Amino acid sequence: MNIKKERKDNSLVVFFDGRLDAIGSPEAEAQLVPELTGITSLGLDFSKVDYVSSAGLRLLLYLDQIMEEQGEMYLTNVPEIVKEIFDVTGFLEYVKIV
Amino acid sequence: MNMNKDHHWKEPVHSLKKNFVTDQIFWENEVQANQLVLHSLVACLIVLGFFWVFALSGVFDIDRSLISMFFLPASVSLVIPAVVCNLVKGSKRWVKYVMMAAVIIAAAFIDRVMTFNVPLLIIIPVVLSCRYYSGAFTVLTAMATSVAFFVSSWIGALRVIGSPDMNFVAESSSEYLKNIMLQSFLPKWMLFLVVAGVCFEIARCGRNMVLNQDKITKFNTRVETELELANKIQSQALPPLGTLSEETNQRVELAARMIPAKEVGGDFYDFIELDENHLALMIADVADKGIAAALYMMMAKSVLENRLMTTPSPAQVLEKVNAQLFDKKLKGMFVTVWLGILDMRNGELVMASAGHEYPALKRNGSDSFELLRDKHGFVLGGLKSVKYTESKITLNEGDILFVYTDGVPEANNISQEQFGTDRMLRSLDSHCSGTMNDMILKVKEDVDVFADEAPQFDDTTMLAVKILKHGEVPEAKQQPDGAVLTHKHGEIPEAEQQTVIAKLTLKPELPEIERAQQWLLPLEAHENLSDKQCKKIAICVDEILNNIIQYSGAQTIELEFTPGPKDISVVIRDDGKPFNPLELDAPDTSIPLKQRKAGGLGVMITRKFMSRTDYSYENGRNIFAASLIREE
Repeated sequence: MNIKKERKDNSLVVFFDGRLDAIGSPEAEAQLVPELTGITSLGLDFSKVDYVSSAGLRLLLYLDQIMEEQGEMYLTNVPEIVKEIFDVTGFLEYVKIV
Repeated sequence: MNMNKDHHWKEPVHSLKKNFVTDQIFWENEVQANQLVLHSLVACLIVLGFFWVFALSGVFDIDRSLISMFFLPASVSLVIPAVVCNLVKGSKRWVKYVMMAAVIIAAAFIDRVMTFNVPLLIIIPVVLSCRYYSGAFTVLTAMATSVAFFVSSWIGALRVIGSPDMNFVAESSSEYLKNIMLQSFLPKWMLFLVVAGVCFEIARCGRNMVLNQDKITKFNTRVETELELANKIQSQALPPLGTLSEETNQRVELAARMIPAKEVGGDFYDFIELDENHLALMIADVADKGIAAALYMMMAKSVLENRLMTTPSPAQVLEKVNAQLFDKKLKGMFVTVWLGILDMRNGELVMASAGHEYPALKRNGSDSFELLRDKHGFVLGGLKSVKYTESKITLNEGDILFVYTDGVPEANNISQEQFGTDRMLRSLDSHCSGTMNDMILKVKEDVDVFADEAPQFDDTTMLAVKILKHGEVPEAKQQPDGAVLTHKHGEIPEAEQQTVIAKLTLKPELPEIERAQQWLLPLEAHENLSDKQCKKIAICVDEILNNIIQYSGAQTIELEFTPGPKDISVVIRDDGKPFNPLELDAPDTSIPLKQRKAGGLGVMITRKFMSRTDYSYENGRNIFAASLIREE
């Protein structure tokens, strides 16, 4: 899991590269969570995400819970297959995809 | 990533940590410099002693009444700091100031009494100071020296004390003072400034040198650590001998070893139990050595392994892997491979070689090893399309096959003589009565004895297999589903290839999921599945394996891939505690995310994505099967 971060003032855009699975998600979590202090807008770019497993969904849930308290979270460039995963798990209705 | 790097570079250079490290380096240097100055103090004392003797004996034309008056304080001012410095072993911050002050004072004293004899005296302190590699300290020393000598000259000019400089005698004492300061001190001082400037520059260069040296040392340490890690990863990528099944160990004795010439190597060996009766043996040598070769080796190894899982013919494996490696467009990189598949039921060995060394074979009953001159194809990765031919031999019980890389026959001794295949064969002959592992170690010993002092030039890898007995696996031990590869090697009809069942055994560790995914890729590619379908299968496998690894306590997990005419099936077996994931209540997806509990999502994704999912528990194993209908 490669993660690129672009930070501008209080907004952070994260570019995931790889799979948000049982291995990639904890890596992503470890890299992201410490950076969230003071962030009011968190963007997650999925253009290079092959797939999201339930571990990845848990990460999204966790990030969403953090951002709920301090600002907003949105997803961009979500591939079809990932959208489908969000759909069957009910995430689609609750995450903001722009 | 780039962002991070930029950020890193912009870190203030004066961060606390950096200063601390730099201080440490320069402190070590300062202690060494203190030693140098201490030695100079002693040297000055000795010279002073000579002066004293020469002055007393009249060799130097000096006013005798002045001798003790000046030489004594000069000596004392040198002795005290020398003793102090020695006592604290030069390891106190103030030592350098004390010693430098002593040198300056002593020099100024001597200058007063030996006005004509010692014009070079003035530069000694500043020359010594540049050894501290600190521009500031050199400037400080230069200033102190200037002041000391100015005062010394002034006192001399006032004729208060010391020997007067007769070169500048004048009518009046004020004229004399002017003469001394302008004609004696000023030119001397100006030249001194030139020397001081040079010393300042030397100190600065020295400082940069030390900093660069430190950078290089740190870089080297990092490279060493990374190479060590790479070496570890590489040696772990080679299959451990202990993992062979009991049935295989009863029928063949296997030993292998890889000794890289540098930290990491380009050689590898591999053996894979394709099913209970077929053992694939492989040895390979990547051109070149070192890191590039090691990376290429890891790539070639995984490509070969993956291909071997689906293609049970050595020649076909080599052909396809050659094409794959050639496609990577790494000019000048190639690998030689010898690949054999041994049928342990009857000893039939089908092999193909891509430019690799001839294997050595010893028949049971024969006294000696002989090279097996099988057909050679071109090395892998060099040409776009290469055909390889297979040869087939039967290994009887007691026969030994030995494959190796060129590190063995091409080991050089100091007189540039090669070990050669003949020496290798004779070495094998004399050591083959013991275990295969001993044989390999002894051959390596022979190579080392031959090479003597010459360093190991190339990676050295050896693999030996001895046939213990032929035979089928007892019926009871066979898998209920039959062989993994149900074909005779090298003769798979095209139509039949569609129903090859491929099987992978996994350990209950998370990284194994990645391995399973990599293993699935070529299988899926072979079935012309759409990207979306591949991903659905990958997600399903990921979720199920994840559950098993984290919760079931299983020791081994088997993954099976079975392409049918209408659908693709994946079966996962594990020996963990019985658990039917399909009985899990599906989470209520209409509840807002924040109120949901974790869990159950993975299974739900699997069920929704796959066309069919089944669970059963048989013979102590969980069996989870999922299938996906092929797209029209």
